[in-house]
Amino acid sequence: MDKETYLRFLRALLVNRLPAEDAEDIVRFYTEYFEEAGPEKEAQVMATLGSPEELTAKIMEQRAKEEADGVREPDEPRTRGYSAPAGNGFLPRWVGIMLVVFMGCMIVPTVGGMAIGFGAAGIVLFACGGLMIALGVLGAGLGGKLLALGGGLVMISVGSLLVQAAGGMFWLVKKAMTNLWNVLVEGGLTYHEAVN
Amino acid sequence: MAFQVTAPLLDGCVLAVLEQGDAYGYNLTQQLRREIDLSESTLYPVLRRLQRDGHLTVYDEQFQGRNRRYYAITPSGKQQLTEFRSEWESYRGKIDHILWGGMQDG
Repeated sequence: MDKETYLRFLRALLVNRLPAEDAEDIVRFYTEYFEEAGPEKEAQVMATLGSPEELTAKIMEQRAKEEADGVREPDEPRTRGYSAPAGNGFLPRWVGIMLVVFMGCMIVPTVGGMAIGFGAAGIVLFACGGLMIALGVLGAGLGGKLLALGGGLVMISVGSLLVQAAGGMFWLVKKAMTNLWNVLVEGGLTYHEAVN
Repeated sequence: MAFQVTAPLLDGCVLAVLEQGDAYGYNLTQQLRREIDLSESTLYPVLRRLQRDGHLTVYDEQFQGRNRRYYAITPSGKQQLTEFRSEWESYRGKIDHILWGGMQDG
């Protein structure tokens, strides 16, 4: 096995077990280690370090020991399937933030405006319904009273539906913005698999 | 070797070597290897942790066209080393006491 293969194996083993940043840091350390030792000592270095599997096992064992002794903080649960927790992997963080802000500028006023309109209309309709019933009861004639009562009830229920729809819209906007942020900036999505 | 060099011991040794002067990973490992058997551990986690705790800092320097990452002890690292030395002294005294039969007197 040559140095490149060794380091490639090492990286492959580490990225499955550690946060990406730590894995890269370790590979960097051993890349430098090989370089300093020089090409003629490659075999000797590999013999000292052990196979990539053995070296990985040593590193993980030491980390586990340190965690157990309390000298180091346990790792965060790692994200699987999607890219590294820091950043989404396909966009620089600031681009992600800009995109979220831009979409927010479009989504929040439109849907938010609709929600406010719906909510206001609902409240007005609700109030009108109540007024209609009150006036209808005072008015003359059984037919007129029943008509006012029925109409008023319909208006109250439609009004409350509108208010609920407005609440739903606010919730949707919030949810949409949170998801956009998670996908474009954090890169986390909801598919998390804790490996510990 | 009959005795295992555990994490805190290795911390102290690394800091002591760095007190003599900055060193890069390979060089540091070789210096320690001259005296102690490191086969059961790797220096990487030790260096990383000491760095995280602020006991050492790293800097990169070009050497013959490639990068060398140097490790340097910080004031907090020096303080840690002093503490470590006095702890080691008292620990060694206790073990010596047991090993050379000082216990019988007491």
